[in-house]
Amino acid sequence: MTQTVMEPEQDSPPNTSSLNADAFEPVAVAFVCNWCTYTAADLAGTSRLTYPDNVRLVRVMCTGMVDPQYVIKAFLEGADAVLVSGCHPGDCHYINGNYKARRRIKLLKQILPRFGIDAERLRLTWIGASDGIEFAKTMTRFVEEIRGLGPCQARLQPVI
Amino acid sequence: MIASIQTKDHSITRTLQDFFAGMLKTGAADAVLVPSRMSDSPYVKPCLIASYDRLDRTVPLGPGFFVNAGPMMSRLTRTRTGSTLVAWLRPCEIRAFVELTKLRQGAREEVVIIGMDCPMALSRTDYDDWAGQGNEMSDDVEKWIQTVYRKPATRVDAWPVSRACQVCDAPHPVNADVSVMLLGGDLDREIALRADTEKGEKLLAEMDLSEGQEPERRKALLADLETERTEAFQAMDEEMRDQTGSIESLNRFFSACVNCYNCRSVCPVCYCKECVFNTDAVAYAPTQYLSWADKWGQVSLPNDTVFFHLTRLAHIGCTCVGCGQCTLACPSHIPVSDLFISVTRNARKAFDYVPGRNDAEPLPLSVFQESEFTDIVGMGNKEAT
Repeated sequence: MTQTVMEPEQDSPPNTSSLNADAFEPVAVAFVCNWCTYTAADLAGTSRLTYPDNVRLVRVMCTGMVDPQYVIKAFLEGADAVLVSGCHPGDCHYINGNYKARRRIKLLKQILPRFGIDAERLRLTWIGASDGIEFAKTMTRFVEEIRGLGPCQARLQPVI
Repeated sequence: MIASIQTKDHSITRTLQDFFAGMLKTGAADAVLVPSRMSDSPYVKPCLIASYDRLDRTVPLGPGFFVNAGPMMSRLTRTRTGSTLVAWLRPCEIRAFVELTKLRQGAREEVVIIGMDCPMALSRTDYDDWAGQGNEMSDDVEKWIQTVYRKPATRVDAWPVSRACQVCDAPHPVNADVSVMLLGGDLDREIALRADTEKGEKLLAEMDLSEGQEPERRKALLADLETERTEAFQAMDEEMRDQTGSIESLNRFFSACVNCYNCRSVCPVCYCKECVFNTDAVAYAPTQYLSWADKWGQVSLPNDTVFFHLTRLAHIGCTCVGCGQCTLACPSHIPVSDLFISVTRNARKAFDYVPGRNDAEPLPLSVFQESEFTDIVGMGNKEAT
């Protein structure tokens, strides 16, 4: 009887070995709200739509609970890009969470570029629950754009 | 309304002490908050004084800035007392207190804020040096006052003032009840006070003072200061972009940081009652550390150093009042305020926000519009709301 050894998932040896864009696989983290975007992701799945597996989804109840520090932590842990996605303004399950998220992301976009994390690496989108197609399209586009930007330099060394 | 206090015995300190004594005697104030020594040591801290004969140790004006009185004001006003408090505050302390009132961590109703053109502050080691000159401290203080108000400069004798002071864009009282107009004043003769609110007028009226006027040179001095400080800020901003423009350089900038969180403790606008860095959110399992060591090759301990500073930066992103306490308190002499002031003064432009200038101006992250910042939403060409 043979035993199969499970290799730990090669989540991150940071891909510093190659400057060749082809070899670079972006790591994207998406904070998606339970009621809208996550549901859209689910719909994309049941519809058998495909989108790149570079995106790691983190389900939150509302984009309004995405503290700036989650975004910062994601970048410091080696994410090349972060997406925050939730309900369209006016449709938030908790009425105004997405408005707060918008302001927080606006602030983060003033701060992160100061440290070499390009503002383009942080995105905010509104994707409704029935928008499975939009979700898949957005994720695909997102990953391709980040592939073009290259690895985030935060990922290239340990952060103290 | 502008009033004037006649300077007595060539001592601005004693003149101001008498001024406070007067308001305690007449009952215009039930208590005053003013920097004071508590012993023979030269260190001053905000002191709450309720009796007119306990003012002899106070140092209303001087280079010692060991505590931003903003959060102290919060402690004194978070519930009503029925007593009138007169608070003698630096401009950055006023800004801090105002920001805290926006969070309902304090209130202005029972307070009369007297702000002064600011005497600037020295670093801890420079203060020790300054105080250790071997003279009577009161003489040193008077000399300091005369020097900084005749012509403010980035150095006073042998000592450079704290960098946060060097770039402070509002070294005069804004949003106070009374402004003490010291810059350019003939302080050997008189001190001019201007009432900025009804409350301030009422206080000055009760003190039975003669009429005064703004020192002639004050406006010009303030204009010069503004130019100088704008330039100094731009230089500091450049420096910070240079020194922290990448994660690698951030690592270097904070390499001496030991996560003591002094900067957080002394920050007047770090307002959370329980900081996330004190919670289980950062109580990682030992296996997590091993996993990080595996992933990154090494984990410097304590970890989350840059994470802490960037998080704090994002949390107080629009409310930093530029007091510089963080740098003054850092045991590793990291110029934290250089970074925080540079980043926040730019970041808050996105919201057209200036902390402390207006009680009614809500904190940017506590309000929102139906439609705003459409530029940051979406993947680019798509129409966004």
